[in-house]
Amino acid sequence: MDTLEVKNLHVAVDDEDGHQVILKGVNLTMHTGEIHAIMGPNGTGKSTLSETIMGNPKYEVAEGDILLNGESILDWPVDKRARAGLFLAMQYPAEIAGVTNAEFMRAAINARRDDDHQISVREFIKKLDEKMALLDMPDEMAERYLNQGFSGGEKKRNEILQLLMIEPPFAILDEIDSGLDIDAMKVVAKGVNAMRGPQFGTLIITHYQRLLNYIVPDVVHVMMDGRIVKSGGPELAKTLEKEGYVGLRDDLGLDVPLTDDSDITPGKGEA
Amino acid sequence: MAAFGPKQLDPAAIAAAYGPLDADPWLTTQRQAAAAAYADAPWPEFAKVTFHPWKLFGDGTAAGVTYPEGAPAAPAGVTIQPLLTAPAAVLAPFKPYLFHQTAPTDRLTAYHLAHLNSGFLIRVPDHFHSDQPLVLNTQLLAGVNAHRHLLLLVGRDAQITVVDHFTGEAGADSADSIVTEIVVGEDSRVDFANVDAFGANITAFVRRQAQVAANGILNWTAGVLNDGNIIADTSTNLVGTGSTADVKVVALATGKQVQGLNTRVTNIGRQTTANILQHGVILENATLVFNGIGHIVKGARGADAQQENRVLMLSRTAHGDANPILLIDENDVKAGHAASVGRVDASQMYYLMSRGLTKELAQRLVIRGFLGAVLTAIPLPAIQQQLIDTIERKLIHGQRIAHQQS
Ligand SMILES: Nc1ncnc2c1ncn2[C@@H]1O[C@H](COP(=O)(O)OP(=O)(O)OP(=O)(O)O)[C@@H](O)[C@H]1O
Ligand SMILES: [Mg+2]
Repeated sequence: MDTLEVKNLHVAVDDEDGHQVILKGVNLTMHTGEIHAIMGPNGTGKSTLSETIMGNPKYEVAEGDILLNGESILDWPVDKRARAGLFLAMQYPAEIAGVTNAEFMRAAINARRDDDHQISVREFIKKLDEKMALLDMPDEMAERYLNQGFSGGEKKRNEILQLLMIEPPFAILDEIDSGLDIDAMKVVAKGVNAMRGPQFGTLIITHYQRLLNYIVPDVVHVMMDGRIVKSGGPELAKTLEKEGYVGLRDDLGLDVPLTDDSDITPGKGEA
Repeated sequence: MAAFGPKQLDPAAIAAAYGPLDADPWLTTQRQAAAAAYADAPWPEFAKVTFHPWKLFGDGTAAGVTYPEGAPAAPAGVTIQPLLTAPAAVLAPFKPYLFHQTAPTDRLTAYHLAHLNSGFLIRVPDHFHSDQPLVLNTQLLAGVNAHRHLLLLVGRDAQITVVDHFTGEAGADSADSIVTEIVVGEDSRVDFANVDAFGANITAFVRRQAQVAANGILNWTAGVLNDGNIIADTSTNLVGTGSTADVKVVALATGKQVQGLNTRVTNIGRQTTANILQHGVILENATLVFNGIGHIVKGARGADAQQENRVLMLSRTAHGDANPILLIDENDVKAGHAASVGRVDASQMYYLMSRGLTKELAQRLVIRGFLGAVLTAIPLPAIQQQLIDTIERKLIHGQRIAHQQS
């Protein structure tokens, strides 16, 4: 069993407006075999948390630690973290011309293997065909340039395809459902569920309780203003759907400004 | 020798120093004429490249080159002769062409002609056809200035592939000039590839000039993969009716080097077709300039001139330029161009690396992909492979140096 721990994490970014503190002490422990979900209003730091775990150099850790199997990974560059077992399905995946999807995925798989055990072309194609079929992706997507001109939904599906090909121990899925029609959401959920098992742990960030009907989490966390303010079982997502973040904030007696202090309901907060 | 070069060249002194290299005194008179023209000749033009202060001038009678695979050999039927030691009788059939396309009308060509210290004459007879490429493997020596001239004379209805491959010896600096003339006869097809991989210690002026007769075809592939500061002019005159030039250039600039390239096709004859496709990649602090020059002269009715110049930068400190320059003096023509200067930004690198690719591998993948658009269009697999290998070598070398410095 692998373990990913986030301890008292404080994160800041430097932008035009100066130094901005976004995460204000996040604590989270995940093991392989578990599915965690994080929900929270726009701008509370969910993507910041995932990018910081992955090692995006834009985010600066001011305090706290991130540990993978007990070892701090804060000094590790993103590629090393990836090879050590972390995967982030990004909210906004980059487009890269000239590099085909297939070539990229093969390089990603081989980056985890030593020179004597590189995946053979035949083995790779077999696996790719299988995973693309699972995700209802047309064959030609493999030979298209990485995310180049992909629709929003195709990009999300492609993130899941990479997840299935790379098979990391830990995956963070940042709004993998946003912009997906209901059928596409089911397909993506099918992909994630195919990974489910004792060797795999995932952290799902979503605004929609609906996704969690298809991928049922073990734990749901609510994040507000840079902290996890409440954790619970799958029923917590349902409560939120009904009562909104304002209700939860007031229940917890938190002094947190929400972007819109009228009733913000997950699922309605985002266009 | 100092930057900017000597103010003038003394023809008598040139004749005294270099005349002994020439088997045919005619060559010496050509040197003297070039030396006399030097002082008033303008600099060659490479838009947006400041090459004038470079160490482009260096003399010496030693050849400045070696042939790592032995002296170049030609397929049966084709003759290849060293230029300087060719006696008058051998030189005679080349004289109507030799130095004609590269007259001493600019300072650097004039300097080159006055100081020639190696070269070849290649003659491909009429009706010659072969799939076997003629490969010239030349190494530029460290610390010895090379001024190498090549004339490739292809008769009519002939077909040949020529690969002009340069590497450089590491070591002391040298200032080299590589000038090539290509003549494609009527109805002939020439596949010419130059793979230039001069070392970081070599500053060079490279000029290759071709002319194509009626219905001739020139497929030109240029790999500009040097490590030092280079200006390179690759020019074709489509003289004959119905002649075609297809010019593909891949370039890679690394470290702190500057590579400035003119790639030019001039449509002179009617119904001539020009295609230029260039892709270049810049890493670190390097500079790469593509000047794509399409010139359709008056009278070239029915001419077609197309070009695409694309530059990709992999670092913030890279400098790139892609300038399409179209000069059209005739109405009944087609012309088009596309140009772009793009950047692989930090978020793209982050994305690739977030799947476990090292920075170096991520860069190589992006670069290979970008250059692949040109590489896959190269008709000959052997040339394609040679370019791919050279690119990979230069990349890994460039990345290793960047890594050591960071
Ligand atoms: N690179 C950055 N530069 C400047 N500000 C940033 C940066 N990244 C995040 N922020 C700011 O930090 C806050 C949290 O952003 P983050 O993207 O983590 O929120 P989120 O919870 O993922 O929101 P959403 O639900 O809308 O995706 C926002 O105010 C955002 O503007
Ligand atoms: Mg987000």
